[in-house]
Amino acid sequence: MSILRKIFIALMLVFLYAPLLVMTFFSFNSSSSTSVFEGFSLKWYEQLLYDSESISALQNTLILAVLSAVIATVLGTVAAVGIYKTKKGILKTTMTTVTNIPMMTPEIVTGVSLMLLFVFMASLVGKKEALGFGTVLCAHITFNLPYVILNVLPKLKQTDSHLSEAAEDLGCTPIKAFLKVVLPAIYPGIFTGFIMSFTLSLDDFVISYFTSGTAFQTLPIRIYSMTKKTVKPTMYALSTIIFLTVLILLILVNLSKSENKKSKLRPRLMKIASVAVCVAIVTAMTGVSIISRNLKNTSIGVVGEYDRELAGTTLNVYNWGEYISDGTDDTLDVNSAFEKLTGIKVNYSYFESNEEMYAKIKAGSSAYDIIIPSDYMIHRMIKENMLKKLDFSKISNYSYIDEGYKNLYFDPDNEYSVPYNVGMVGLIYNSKIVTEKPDSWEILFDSRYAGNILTFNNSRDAFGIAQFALGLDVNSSNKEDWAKAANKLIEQNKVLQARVMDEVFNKMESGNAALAPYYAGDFYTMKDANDDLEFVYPKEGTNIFVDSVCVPQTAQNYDAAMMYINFLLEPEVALANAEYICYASPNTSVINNEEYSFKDDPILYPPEEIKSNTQYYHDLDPEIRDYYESLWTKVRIS
Amino acid sequence: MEKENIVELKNISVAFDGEQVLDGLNLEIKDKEFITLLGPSGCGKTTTLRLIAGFLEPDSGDVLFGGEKINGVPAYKRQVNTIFQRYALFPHLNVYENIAFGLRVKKRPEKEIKEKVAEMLRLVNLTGLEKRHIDTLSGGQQQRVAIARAIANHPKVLLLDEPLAALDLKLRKDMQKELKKIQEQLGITFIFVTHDQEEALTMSDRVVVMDGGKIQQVGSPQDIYNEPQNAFVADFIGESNIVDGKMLRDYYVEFSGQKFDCLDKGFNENELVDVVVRPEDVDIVSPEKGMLKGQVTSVAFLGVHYEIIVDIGGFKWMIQTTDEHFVGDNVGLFIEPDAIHIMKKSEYSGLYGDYSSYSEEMDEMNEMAEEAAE
Repeated sequence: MSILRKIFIALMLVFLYAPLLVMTFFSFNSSSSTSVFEGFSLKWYEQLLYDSESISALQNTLILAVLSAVIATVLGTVAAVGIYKTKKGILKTTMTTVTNIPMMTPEIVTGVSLMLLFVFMASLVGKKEALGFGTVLCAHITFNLPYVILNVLPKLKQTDSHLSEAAEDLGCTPIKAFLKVVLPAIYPGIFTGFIMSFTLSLDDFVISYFTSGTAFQTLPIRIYSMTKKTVKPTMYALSTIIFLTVLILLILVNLSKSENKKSKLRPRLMKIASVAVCVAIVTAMTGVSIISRNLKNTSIGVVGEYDRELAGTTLNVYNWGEYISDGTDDTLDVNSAFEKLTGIKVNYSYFESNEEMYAKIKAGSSAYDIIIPSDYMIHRMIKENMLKKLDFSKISNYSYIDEGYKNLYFDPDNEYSVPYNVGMVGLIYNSKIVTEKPDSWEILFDSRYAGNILTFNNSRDAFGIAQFALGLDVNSSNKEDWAKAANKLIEQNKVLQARVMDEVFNKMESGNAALAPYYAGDFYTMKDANDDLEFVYPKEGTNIFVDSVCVPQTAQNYDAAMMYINFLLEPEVALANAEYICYASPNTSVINNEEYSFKDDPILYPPEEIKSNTQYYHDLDPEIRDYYESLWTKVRIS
Repeated sequence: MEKENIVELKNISVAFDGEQVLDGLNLEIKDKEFITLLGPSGCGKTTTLRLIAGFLEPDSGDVLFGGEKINGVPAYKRQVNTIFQRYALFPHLNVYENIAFGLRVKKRPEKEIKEKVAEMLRLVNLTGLEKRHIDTLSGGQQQRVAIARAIANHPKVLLLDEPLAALDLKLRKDMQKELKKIQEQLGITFIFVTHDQEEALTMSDRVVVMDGGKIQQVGSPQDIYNEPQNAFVADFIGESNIVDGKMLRDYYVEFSGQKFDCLDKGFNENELVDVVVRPEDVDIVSPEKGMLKGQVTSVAFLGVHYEIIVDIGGFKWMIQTTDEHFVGDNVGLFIEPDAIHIMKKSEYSGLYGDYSSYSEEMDEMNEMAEEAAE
């Protein structure tokens, strides 16, 4: 029995703490691999110093958690006392039930409904930018409240109802009686409520996501939006620091409790220590964020002309995560450099997919000045009149754009968009397992490699592979073409290991899988971790995509947006971005720069015969879109 | 010399949710007396106490303290302190801090507080337990802390709301004596609320018997016991056989078909009355010597005495005796004139004093129901 019990407890501890230990372990890894430990290093902790975006997101998260927990605790306690004192039975049960409902409601519902409410109220008072710190705070207080009430109410019920009368009897005013006697009696409930609120607020993603606007970002949102690439190991370092801090605080709290009965001095010391730790952390973080801002490389020479007429205004930029050079590893901090040059404050936030960005712009809940969507999405947004024409007279650096990226199908007259990055899909394979050099997409359907094959876990890219393999038009308006591709994909299910997006890095780096289609720029990240990996563009052709800078109709700071677009095209800026992002640049000043480390790189800048054999994805007819999405569901479940 | 009234209640009425809890109550409480409000649950005794404490305001009527009207004066400004039924000790404070609470609120100097608390602890025999936490104390000890806490403030009047109800019988008896001793030592007014008649009789200078929001009788324990004013009081205080009677003339009454000499007078001739005979005042004799004759229908042994139910012409009498009798015995009852007490007819007539439905079980059930209702 006792052995079984010990095993059980050991297993429980392993399940609880193994993930945290693994994360802590890899935060000291000298490479960015999540599968191979290449040596002890503190470099991710050091890099954290440069990541002012994450540090400020963490700061936001902590401020938000503390504020919302404090306010919710005060309001919730008052509400609980009110409910407790209510005599009428029906009123009381109604109030209790009503406060409990938000806890049962799915977060997504709460998030969406709060966003709608905030946007609606803002429109009533005629405010364009509805969402921000205030709305997130309101939302967090809202979902924290029931937990406080739920913790305080039972404590009130347990408390002798005569306590407050006894205090009044001994000379306290009713308010003093509540503070001196009832409050200490229900304090454990209040404290638990506070801690629960703090924790819930700390890791809330869904509700924050819907209610935060352009200007405000929490840590969960930041980490979640880092998915254009992978989650950076600096996040392991950050999470480790957070975890250790919480651990230390918990130990201190427990120590102060267990010493309680022996002496009076120790708990007081412990309390002082806890407060000191908190203060130290806040100070350290503030210090780090100030230092990290100053450490950043922002020095730059510019070609275009920039004035400071718009200094003091704010520019809201909405881009993919990890899609701009941000000062990490002594690279150029593009946004800070722009701020320094023009005095315009850049508010930078991330999206994870074109569809998500589209939904947010369409909802009109936030006023972005700059967005960077992909080709087909630009096509759709132009059709729906969601984009503003650009004033090219203010974008002198447009002349650097390669002729091959002008007059593209989605913006044939070059009115709405300026290309930012170019990418192509290719085939990544492990040369240790796949010994012959593949040249066709067919290898992804080859039973010899069954169990070693990965493919995209998004419909358009997955269909694309099948369509290229079958020689079909990727933008076909013929349903039969799509059905054929779907059959091909169903056939592929037999040999497939998994459909993946970000997990592709881990699986390919560790040798867990041998074949995967993915974006060319990301190949180098994987190659860094596993030298056996190779890349090829299959002979049937492949997908090419362009992400371009656009300005939505809802933009508030159009002139600053023009200045920013021109700035992104600056040779030094574009070079820094190209080096950082690892995607192909459409900027000739980069392509022809001798110092560019990817100059003439055969993968990022393949020869003309490969480039000419590519297709853009177009925005399809809604009917076709619905049709292939239904096929996609069938593919995934069969 | 007649003592001054410290508390006066004048024509007080209180209703909760349309239910009359106190109905035109008048009561004068003298300085330094030990007065007990006695009655079944729901009689309004606790409500009366809360009125004096200031936790409740009357719908009509006045509360006077030392001759001054104190309606509307909040509890924390009144010179009274309360000992609550479940003590309401502050769980987050130790014994010392609980007792010091009132003094701290009044911002007394630390030295005075220290002396005062020490004095209180001596008074209630808790010296040495200053640092103990409330939840580590026994029920009796908690009770003492509650007393010390309430009197540390030097109240002129101490209100006690069934303070002994939660203690077991033995402890309760000890605490009764101790409370009485403390009251004499401090020389302040105690207003004590209880539903336990024995407790009321043991401790009080005066007892106020209440029912239905009204005072039924006020008097010394002896008065209340020996000269109950109506069937309710007679039944509530101790056991009573209450039978219908007719006052033939002064000092001469007829009941149960027989005529008896008695010590009461002042009734109209042939006035219908309630006749009270206490069970311990009846002697059981042989049938031929008895004034009343009947048959024993039940016998219960209670230790000090037997409780015997005798059927006399359909009316069941309770008799307490130290002699043993058996069910089915034919016995005679002998009643001395001074054992007979005559009361005027009241709304309670006919409701009490017949033991035909009496059983030990019933009594216990009633008691339990009463406690649950508290």
